[in-house]
Amino acid sequence: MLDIPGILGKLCAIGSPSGFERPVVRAAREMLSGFCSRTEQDALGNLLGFAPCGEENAPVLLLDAHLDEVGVIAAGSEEGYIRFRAHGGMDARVFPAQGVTFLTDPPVYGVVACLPPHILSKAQAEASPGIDEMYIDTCGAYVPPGTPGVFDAEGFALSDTLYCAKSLDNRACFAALLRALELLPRLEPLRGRKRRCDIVVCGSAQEEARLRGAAAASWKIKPQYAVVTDVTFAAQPDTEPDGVFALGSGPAVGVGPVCDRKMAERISALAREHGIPHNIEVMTSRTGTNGDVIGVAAGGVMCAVLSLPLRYMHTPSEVIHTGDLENLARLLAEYILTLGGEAL
Amino acid sequence: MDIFALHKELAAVFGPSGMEADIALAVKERLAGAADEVTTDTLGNLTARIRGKGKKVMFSAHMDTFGLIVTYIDKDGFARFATLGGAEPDYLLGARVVFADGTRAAVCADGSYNRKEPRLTDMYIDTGANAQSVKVGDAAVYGGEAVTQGGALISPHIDNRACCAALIAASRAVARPKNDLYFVFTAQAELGMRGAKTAAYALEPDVAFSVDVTDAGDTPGCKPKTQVKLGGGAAVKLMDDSVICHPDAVAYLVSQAEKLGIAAQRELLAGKGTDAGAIHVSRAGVPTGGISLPARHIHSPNEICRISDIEDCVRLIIAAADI
Repeated sequence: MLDIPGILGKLCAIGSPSGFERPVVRAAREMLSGFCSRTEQDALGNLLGFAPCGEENAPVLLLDAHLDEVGVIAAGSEEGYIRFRAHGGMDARVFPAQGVTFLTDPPVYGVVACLPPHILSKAQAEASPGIDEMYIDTCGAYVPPGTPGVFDAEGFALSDTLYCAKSLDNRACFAALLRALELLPRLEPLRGRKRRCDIVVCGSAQEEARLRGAAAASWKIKPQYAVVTDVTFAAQPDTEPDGVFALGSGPAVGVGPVCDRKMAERISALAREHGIPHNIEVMTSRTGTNGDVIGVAAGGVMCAVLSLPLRYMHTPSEVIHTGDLENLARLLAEYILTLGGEAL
Repeated sequence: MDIFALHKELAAVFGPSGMEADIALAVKERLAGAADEVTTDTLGNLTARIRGKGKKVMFSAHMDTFGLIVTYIDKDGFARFATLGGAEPDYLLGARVVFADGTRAAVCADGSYNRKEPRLTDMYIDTGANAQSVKVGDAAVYGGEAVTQGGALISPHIDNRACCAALIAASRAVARPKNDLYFVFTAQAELGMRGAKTAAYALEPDVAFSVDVTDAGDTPGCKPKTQVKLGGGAAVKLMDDSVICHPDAVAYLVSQAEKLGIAAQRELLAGKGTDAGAIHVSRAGVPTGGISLPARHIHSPNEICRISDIEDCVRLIIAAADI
């Protein structure tokens, strides 16, 4: 059985923001290759893994989980301190005093500079400086403008069930795809059914940069079906009850115009049939996931979105429930076995 | 059948963005006998082809409507919602809506609703006795009925069912066309022309015309100002936020309107887009124009247009088929 915390630890330790996916793809490709007849990294940086079922004219199912992460980009240096910009959607308030690794070879380490509370003026203490006012202290080490960086944050188990790391958005979902592929051959005899669709796994690039990787990959593959896996918001004391999901309450099945109704209904029905905890997530207009671009690739792709609840998104301390990851994988495996040999 | 009756039937069919199956079926039934073949695709677009030897001409009218989708139901059965497509909270307050299963409901404001800064999050849907029949993810649309009065049409979903009616009427009138005609009733236009995008890719037309409503500028204090008015005839689109129409398409529509005595006006729409936006950049590009129906109060429960303008749109569509 796959060691999920081990996989999360390994994938999340890698710094690979949007457009700089080579390091994470290298590691993910090694993990994926055992489940595929062939893997490749395409021009945009997507990791593609092909797992045909052996049947002629079988429908093609694209399984998507983006591998890139948010980070920073060095923008220049002033007196040995590095100015930087956010690379992807980031909250300026999480930056002060964070450790940052710049992905030079060898890496350059730095700290986002901030003043100690003792010497802050009242105005400074109340201010909420923007990222453009901050700088990273690299102890004088030069970082060329354009160099990407990520938070320094080792992943760790927060409890028996909760795991904490940077970039669980969305490497946790990639781990769930691996787990689903592992579950498939075990599920086949239980359900008395062989897999009858060709699977293409897409560890997509540049999701945090306007969904660019999945757009290119879906045009290349032109699948009949796609299941997009990504993270969604988990409940915490400050959230409204609407549109958030308790950690441990299972994956969320997307319902909305981008999510094909019949696919969403079948997935929910399978979850009920097999007692898999799950939620319904209403995704109005755009989903904010790769589903937005995959669904309208070429002549159109039937698309479902399965989401993993996650707390503290786009910070160094993202938190997921490994039970939700397992249930997402189980639900996905059940769904895969129903595809093919019929029209949906 | 007259155009009002056709519109009234179509406007009563449930079909918000992403849930176009019922309206696609209703359109298909009304195309019977007119089209050589009718097909549907993955996103839910419906395409009716009338064979001809000439150019491949695409006409597109989106058939989805603005709608509400339930996001959360509280313990007392009141439903919070988001919108499918762009919404003015002003228009929603007090609206009567209907769900796919026929459940009726009212859109209401809660205690935190601020009239100066209306927010959807301060509103809810009250289904009265039928609360238990509504689930998270269910959608509702405006539930009013189309009426006509002194040549005006007052109805929900003039955007874009009146244009669907125009396209159906035109398709019935072109029996042996010069060109190879494709009348496409698109899905998910209110969400950024998603249906038109895949339909145009699959079709690869030589030229295309999108048929949609446009804002009339003839109401009190109307902003932004526009010359388009009700009763001025079909509007020939010059541009909107999604497209600058191809000069040849514009010139052809203007010249045909003059030649055939079809009332027409020139239209520049601000702040909104149409299927033309997705179609004209499909593949290596498609020369695209637009035929628009002037309408007031678009996306409100009571949109208003003129029957004569719909009829002028029908005539202009028929003329455009010969491009």
